Amino acid sequence: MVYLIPESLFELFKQEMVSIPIIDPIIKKLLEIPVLNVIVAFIFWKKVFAVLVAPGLLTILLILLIIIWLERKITARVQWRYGPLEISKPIGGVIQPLADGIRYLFQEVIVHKDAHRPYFLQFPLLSFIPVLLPILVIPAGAVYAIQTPYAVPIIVGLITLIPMVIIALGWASNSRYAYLGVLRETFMYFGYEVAFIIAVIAMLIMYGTGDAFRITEAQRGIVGAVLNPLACIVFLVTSAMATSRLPFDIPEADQEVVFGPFVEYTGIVFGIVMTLAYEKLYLLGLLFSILFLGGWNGPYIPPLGDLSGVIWLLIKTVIFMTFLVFLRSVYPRFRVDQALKLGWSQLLCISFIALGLAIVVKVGGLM
Amino acid sequence: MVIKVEGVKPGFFRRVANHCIAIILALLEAIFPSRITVRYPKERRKLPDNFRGMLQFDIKKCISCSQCAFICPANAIKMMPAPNGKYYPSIDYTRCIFCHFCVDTCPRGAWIPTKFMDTAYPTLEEMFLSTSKLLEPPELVLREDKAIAELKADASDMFLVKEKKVEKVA
Repeated sequence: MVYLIPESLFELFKQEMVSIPIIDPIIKKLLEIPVLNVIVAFIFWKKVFAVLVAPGLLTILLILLIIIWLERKITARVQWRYGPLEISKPIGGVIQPLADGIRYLFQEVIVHKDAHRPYFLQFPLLSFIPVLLPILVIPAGAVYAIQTPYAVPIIVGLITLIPMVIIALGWASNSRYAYLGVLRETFMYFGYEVAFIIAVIAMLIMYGTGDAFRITEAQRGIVGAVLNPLACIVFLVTSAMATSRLPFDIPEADQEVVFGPFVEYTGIVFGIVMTLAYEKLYLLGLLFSILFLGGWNGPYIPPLGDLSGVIWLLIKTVIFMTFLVFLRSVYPRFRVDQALKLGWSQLLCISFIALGLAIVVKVGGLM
Repeated sequence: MVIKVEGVKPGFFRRVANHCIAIILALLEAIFPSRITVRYPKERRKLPDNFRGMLQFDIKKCISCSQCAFICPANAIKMMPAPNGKYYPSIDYTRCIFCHFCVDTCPRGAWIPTKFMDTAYPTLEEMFLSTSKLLEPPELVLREDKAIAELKADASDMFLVKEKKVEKVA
């Protein structure tokens, strides 16, 4: 009986495995080894592969390293500097964020006296729930965990939970700067959320479905950014606001409120909360690629097999993320009232026009 | 009279164009960077020929007139007696302000200016250099530069010109 359960599971895993022709011989060899084969089959089982490897956990870690390095490097180049270079000089200092992470790991974690100790340490870990759950419903070509017609609404709903975590951990910090940061975060949250959701709804009306597979199928001819450019612009600006990239670097403004809600964090816990904005940026990037850039549509790459779609999705996501972190070197910071005004007047208006455009296109039967 | 300065209020298309120009400029800079950072220990700024660095002393030209000690505004130069009965200058680098008045005032040109500026001494006492220590060029910490960099500017822009050679400083 004990032996039978793994055997039946093994058969189950083997039926739906990710096929990557380039590493097929290695996997075939691994599947012959008694105990290891169940683990390998489990990892390469499509549903688990989507969550654990790509576009899930492992890819998030990899992209965090790359995007933080890119941000520092691009900003340095625009500002006539070098940026990270001393560690791993031949490849331009790519592993600098890894070195920083290791340094965080061995640093003392200080919980100050006034902080609400349980929440102070809990919320950084709880923040992984809204960050990792959307991965379940974000498909990447043939690699996906759950296929549902409510995929995009679920992703948007979970993404909008992330500011709650930031507000909560700022409250648990119980410090003046954290309080100011939380206040600003709340203001920004009110500023962008409505326009953002209306822009997404416009695209959903345009495609007539929330299923990511049918959305990418609809974009085979023309991509969403061309179909509804207004919604695209609103999504772009609101994602800069949502992830507190410049020019909307208001909650984290280093020079004003010294990293805002995260001011009291040290050590690896700070590492976790600092990467929160980048993880959110990654999720928004995936959503942007699916809604506006044609998802995993792209030329099929034979040696990569099922990974081909994943690669195209990730390339589009990284381009989106790079553009948003690149804005840091172009724009100065808005004031809170300016950002709020922008959110509640211009962005809201444009998003409503985009919604009207989508309804006209859908009712007029143009799509 | 009150002069009211009004801010520039560009129209909608002008603003969009300004955004695009800013982004394109930054993009060009990100792809083809024009860096002005000098990576100091590995590269060195090209120093001008009239650079006021540390000093070297030529004992054969000295006539012991004490002009350098008189002119020194920081009282860094002291005349010390030598075994041959004459008095020769010595420098206290804790006081020296590198004004090179001594070089200018010397009637025989016994003071030789060098381009040394990055020498380190372990203790304060060692910063007092007697005449015998002034005869050779000062000791460098460790020289690891492979190139010299020079900041140049024309009417519109400033740029860094690098040259793969080691500059002689003394």
